[in-house]
Amino acid sequence: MSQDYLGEFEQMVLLSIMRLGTDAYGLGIKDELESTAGRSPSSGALYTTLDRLERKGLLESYAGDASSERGGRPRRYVKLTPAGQEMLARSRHTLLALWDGLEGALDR
Amino acid sequence: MSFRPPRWLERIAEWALPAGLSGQGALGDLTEEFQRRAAESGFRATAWYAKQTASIVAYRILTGSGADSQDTHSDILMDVRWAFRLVLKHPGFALGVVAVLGLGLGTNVAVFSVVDGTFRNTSWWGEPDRTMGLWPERYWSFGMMEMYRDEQSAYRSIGGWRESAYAIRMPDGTSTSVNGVEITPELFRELSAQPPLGRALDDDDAFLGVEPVVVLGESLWRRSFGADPGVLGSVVDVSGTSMRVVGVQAAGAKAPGGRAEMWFPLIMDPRDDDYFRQTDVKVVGVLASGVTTDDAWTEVDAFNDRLARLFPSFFTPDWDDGLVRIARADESQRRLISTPLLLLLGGTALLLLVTALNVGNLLLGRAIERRRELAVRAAIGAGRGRIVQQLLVEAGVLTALAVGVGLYAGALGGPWIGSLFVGEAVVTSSSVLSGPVLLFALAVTFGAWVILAGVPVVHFLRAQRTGLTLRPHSGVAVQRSLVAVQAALATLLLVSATLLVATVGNLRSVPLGYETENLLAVELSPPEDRLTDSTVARGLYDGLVERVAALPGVEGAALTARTPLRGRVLRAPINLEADPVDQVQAPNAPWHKVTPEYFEVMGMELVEGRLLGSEDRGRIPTAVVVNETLAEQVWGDQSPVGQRIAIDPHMWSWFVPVVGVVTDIRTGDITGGAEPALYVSLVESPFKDVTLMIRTSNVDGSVVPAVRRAVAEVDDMVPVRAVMWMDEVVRAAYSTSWVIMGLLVALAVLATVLGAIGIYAALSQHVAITRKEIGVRMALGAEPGEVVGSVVRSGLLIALAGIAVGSVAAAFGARVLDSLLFEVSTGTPWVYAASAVALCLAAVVAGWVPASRAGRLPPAEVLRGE
Repeated sequence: MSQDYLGEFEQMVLLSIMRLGTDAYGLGIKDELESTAGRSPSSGALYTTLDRLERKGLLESYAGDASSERGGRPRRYVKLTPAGQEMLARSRHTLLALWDGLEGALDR
Repeated sequence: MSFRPPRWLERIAEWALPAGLSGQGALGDLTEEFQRRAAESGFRATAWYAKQTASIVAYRILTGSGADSQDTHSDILMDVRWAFRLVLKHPGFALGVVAVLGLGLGTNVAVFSVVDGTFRNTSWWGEPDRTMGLWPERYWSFGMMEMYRDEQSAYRSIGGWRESAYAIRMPDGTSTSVNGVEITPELFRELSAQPPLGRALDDDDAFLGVEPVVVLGESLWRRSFGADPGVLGSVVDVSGTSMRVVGVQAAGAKAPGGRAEMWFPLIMDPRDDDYFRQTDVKVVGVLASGVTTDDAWTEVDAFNDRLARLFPSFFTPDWDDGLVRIARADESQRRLISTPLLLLLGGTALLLLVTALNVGNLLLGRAIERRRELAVRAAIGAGRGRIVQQLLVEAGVLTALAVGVGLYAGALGGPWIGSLFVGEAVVTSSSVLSGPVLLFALAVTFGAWVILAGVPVVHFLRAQRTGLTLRPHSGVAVQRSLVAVQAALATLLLVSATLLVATVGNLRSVPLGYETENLLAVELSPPEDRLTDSTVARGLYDGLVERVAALPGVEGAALTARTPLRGRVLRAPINLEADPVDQVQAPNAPWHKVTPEYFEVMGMELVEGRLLGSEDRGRIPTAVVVNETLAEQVWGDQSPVGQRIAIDPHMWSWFVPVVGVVTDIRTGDITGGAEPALYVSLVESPFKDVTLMIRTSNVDGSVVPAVRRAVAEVDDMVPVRAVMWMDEVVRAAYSTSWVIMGLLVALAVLATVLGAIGIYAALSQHVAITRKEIGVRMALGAEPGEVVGSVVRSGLLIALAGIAVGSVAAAFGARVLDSLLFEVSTGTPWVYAASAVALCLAAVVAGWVPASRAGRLPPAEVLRGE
């Protein structure tokens, strides 16, 4: 069952990756989280989450070009797998179902 | 512009991140972001990088990852997490272990920081390994030193120094007392510290007739000259001589000998009577390159024969058989403190051993409790190595937590222990964060970890080898022998502590022959020019004694050339008119130059004849008073009064009558035997350093400033070197024994308590395991008393085994204490008996709780429960 559940931070990370499209790598995701969601996660939290999501099969990564400003290390680009997309969709669906009829309740 | 994060931080991040693209990608991101930030501020970028690295490490440790759990690297992380969870699950146990172990480590670190600091502190020479003291226990005359300096070739530089106190006249007309050192310039330049301001002493400063110069100590410069660099080149009045300030010595720089704050060139006029006579110079040489100590020894040995012919009085045979000796110049200080401090280090190491064994025992107990868990894990395929690793990591986590406590305790304890050695100026502690101390901490921590982890691991492996799973009974024998080892170590410490307690008791009860209460000693160093004219000297001495004696609260005052139990002993050879001897064969005795009031102030009684009096005011000694021991040694049954003796090696046929005999008092070594003594009038042979002995009606603080004022009124160029109550002097004379005793007693008590806890734990477990057996016995009619007795007895047996082993170890081991002991020996039976009794009592008390629990077991319930 736990496979079906996405944590709040995991969801944010997956959404950021989708928003960034082909440009999604560690730093980009971090900036996106900061500018859009107002969250600035520590490196430890972010990379651990990325590894965990990959382990769960929700995203996959591929190497980009290495450059000198990165100390000769490649970028690790990530994109959602079909399973990841499905998971995100399910999550959205669940949340929307729960929100149904409550849209005005918090606006007062 | 390209910036790189610090390598070591990168390494840590690399270690904590997984291998492969995920880790490389993350590292690349960190570098990229670092570049961006470094363009603004390198420091902030580094701080940021460090923070990110820390978060990565923290996440790795706390969450770990399942993906790469096949390699040991993350196995260890898993074990670490597991160990931390155990800590959180049993916080009381973990807290206890960390506190006990931390204190054990802390005392070791603290004592080591004192040992390290003191050894480092003892040398004020630039190259302590090659700086030799020549006859370190003797004082040379200036002339002898010069003679040897011209002849030798073993030393790159060789010279002498002597210390005294001086009065500096301040611009406002007041004068202040300052300790100073006269030193040959060549030797000054071999000091480890050289003046940062101005210049060092120069060879040209050490000629007769050139302008006298002085190098000020940094503290004096700040205190009395407002840290004004303009003081360089100015002229100050030092004990009546105008001296030009040429340099300011570095802060914290130590003069040879102690706490001097001024340095002058040591010069002497060869025409001076005292050139060869006055022996007050310490001679030190720095070996030339390629010269060994043996070479230097051979060279000085040859010189020795010539010196013995030229200066027979210097070589009285009872001074180390007239043999020359060369030793590191800092040897005496090192020896002074090395035995006590190393002893203390040994004591704390023993305590740590007891602690580690104790905690190891607790872990073993826990391993036995967890035997099912371990057996299950072994059954489902966890290899032996895997389980051993887990035990090692568990012990490691506890030890690591204890290190923090240990370093903190060490940082607090080191300076405290150092401050206890009031009698030894060289004792100090180095920082806990300095290299050697950290290294030591690492080493003892490792040692503690080996024992801590070793106990359960060895036990587990043994159980594995014999094909058995861990069973409660299989641990008992191991546990008991470990407790017995603790008892043995506690015995060792108890015996040592008891020996020191006896020593201090004996030292305290040494009869000095005078009341130290209400007795004040004020050390003075009148300038030389006050002593050259005997009329001036006489006026000064009379003035001091009369003025101080007239102060309110003062019952009597006298002058002596030597502070009892403190100053340097002057010895004089004795020639009898009735039976003349060669100087070399002559007996000798400590020589006290005193004013007539001395006998009364010190409370000595006249046995025969008369005391020194106002009639003994010649230009050379005209009358001698001896004490009972000397009278007995030299004249036996005969009366010495009326006998004539010569006591000046330079006037070997100038015979002076013995006018009286007085009772003995002890003013030399507090641990020495009976002291012969002879007394001559200070007025008849003035001496540079004198001490005012003042008998007061009470220990009232106001008398001290009054005495200082009185001295200044008599002659404000007479500096006060030191002021102390004789009570303090006596305490300082055995302060080292006192401190060592206190600390050893504390260690012994701790070790005994830990040993008792060990016995308690072993017996508690024993009772728990043998509940059924006890129940059966009681059902069959055993009285509760018998059950209690049998449990207590088994605890006592463990203790007795330990005591037996520990006593044998102590009989040999305690010999290192020999040099510290006084009138008690390592073979004294009652010391062992007392230690054994103390430990047995502890064992009975420790055994009582589990024993009475066993005695209260309701047999029916126990049996039904099975």
